[in-house]
Amino acid sequence: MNDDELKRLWQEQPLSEPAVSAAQLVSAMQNKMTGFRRLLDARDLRELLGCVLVILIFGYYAFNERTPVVRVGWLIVIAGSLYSAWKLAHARRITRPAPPGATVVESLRAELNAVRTQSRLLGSVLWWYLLPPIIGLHVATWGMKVDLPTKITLTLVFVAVYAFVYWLNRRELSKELLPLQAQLQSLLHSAETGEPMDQAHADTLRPTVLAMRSAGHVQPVEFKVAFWQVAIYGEIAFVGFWFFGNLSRTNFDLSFMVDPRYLAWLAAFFLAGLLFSRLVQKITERALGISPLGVHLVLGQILIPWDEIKEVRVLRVLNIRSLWLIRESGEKTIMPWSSLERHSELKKAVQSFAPASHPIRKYLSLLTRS
Amino acid sequence: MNSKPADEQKFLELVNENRNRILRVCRVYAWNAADQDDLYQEIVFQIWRGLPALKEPQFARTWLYRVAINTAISFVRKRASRSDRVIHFEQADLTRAIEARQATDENSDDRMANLHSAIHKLDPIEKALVTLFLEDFTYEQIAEATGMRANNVGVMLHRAKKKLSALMKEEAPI
Repeated sequence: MNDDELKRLWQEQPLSEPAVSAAQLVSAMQNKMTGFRRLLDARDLRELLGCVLVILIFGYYAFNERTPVVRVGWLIVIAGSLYSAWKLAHARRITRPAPPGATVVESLRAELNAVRTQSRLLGSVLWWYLLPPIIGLHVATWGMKVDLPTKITLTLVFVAVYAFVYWLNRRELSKELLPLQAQLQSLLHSAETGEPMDQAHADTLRPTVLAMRSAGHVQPVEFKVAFWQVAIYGEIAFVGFWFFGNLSRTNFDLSFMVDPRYLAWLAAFFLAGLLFSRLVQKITERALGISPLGVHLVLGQILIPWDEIKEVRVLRVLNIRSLWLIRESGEKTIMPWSSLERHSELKKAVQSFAPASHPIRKYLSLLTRS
Repeated sequence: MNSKPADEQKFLELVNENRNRILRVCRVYAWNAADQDDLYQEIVFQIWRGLPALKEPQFARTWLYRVAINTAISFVRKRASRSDRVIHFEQADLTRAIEARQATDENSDDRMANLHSAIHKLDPIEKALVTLFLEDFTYEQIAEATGMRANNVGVMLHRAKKKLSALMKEEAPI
């Protein structure tokens, strides 16, 4: 069949027309538009009400609370909730869908941008969504004048609930968003370069696709966060529980700090801090992988190829230096750096695998330990 | 869209004039009657939403195909994720569904069924290119509608047509 025959066959194909009158169609569109607007309004209203509810409930507690530590805890919960709401609203504002008449490429780009933003949000959900309220809840719990078993039970319940929420988010990320992101990247790459989709998968070092593909073939050198890095903050938290808990129990009488009974508990809290830090360190296994392909993150699920990293910047928080990996599009991904263990092996891996003039090499000097 | 009578008139004219074009896009991207109907409604809704932004009526046809194809690609992806599976663009079950649909269509002939079955095995970008080509778009117009470079359109369309031809031969009844 030649092109003209094919076009004729196509254009003359029998089609069953939808039996809708003009008036019905306009009315249906008006109804659908109203429903669409209501859906958006309902979503915004729901989020606003959620925020107001948190402020009212925890604001009431904070206002009526006499113990300053507990009050601080409730205020942290409020601030954390406001920050989470802002973060979600901001993400929505910067990832607006393409208008209906956009080209296929523009539309794919907008959709990929939205999925990438969502992936980043879920990837860092611990820091912006879970950690602020859980810190507030713990500060409040340990500042309350209740017995120790109650405090421990509440702590365990909070940790279990938040761990479950964290697990759900990670699951959503790896099962839904990363495959979708890979698919969109591949489609967009195909539309932008004219390469067929399969070849785009194999040849172009697109991050997630390649990470999945290479899982069985390329074994990155993997690093976890050093125990002492976790322990510094773990101990601050656990000794903090002990300090603020006793501060409120003794009505701000600091003499408990030299009381042997209280000091015995300090030893127990210190050991619990070590245990907690060990558990966290276990979770951060495979925090970073280095391979000839690039940098592997999120348990190896995300791969950023070396040639996609156009710029590297350092982020310093207290004594920890992390690196921002910046792509040509401006997309930034954070990776742990000075907090990792085995600095000498990390140096060797980067020197062996990163291209000669790669910007990441400038930051090898930040790795001091061997 | 503000529901002024003039806007409604413009919308109805556009949809009525292009109904068959929209329906053909639906048949490319949706593989059963219910999905085709849903997709048709979704495309018409997106036209309703986007029409106020169409300032130059001479580009209405290109604009309409953009809306239809974007909506269709997005629709397929949403359907696939809703049924909890990643889209694989050459799914045997999908083909069987299309063939079953074609077989029950009294008006379809073998060649048409064969063409649809082959088109369904293309990836979404190839489907868009082949659809626009079959709708008599030039390479430049396809590039304009998809946002791709004209030379990429040429390369991809050539490859898609070859693939389509091979698939049609494969599918042709012996």
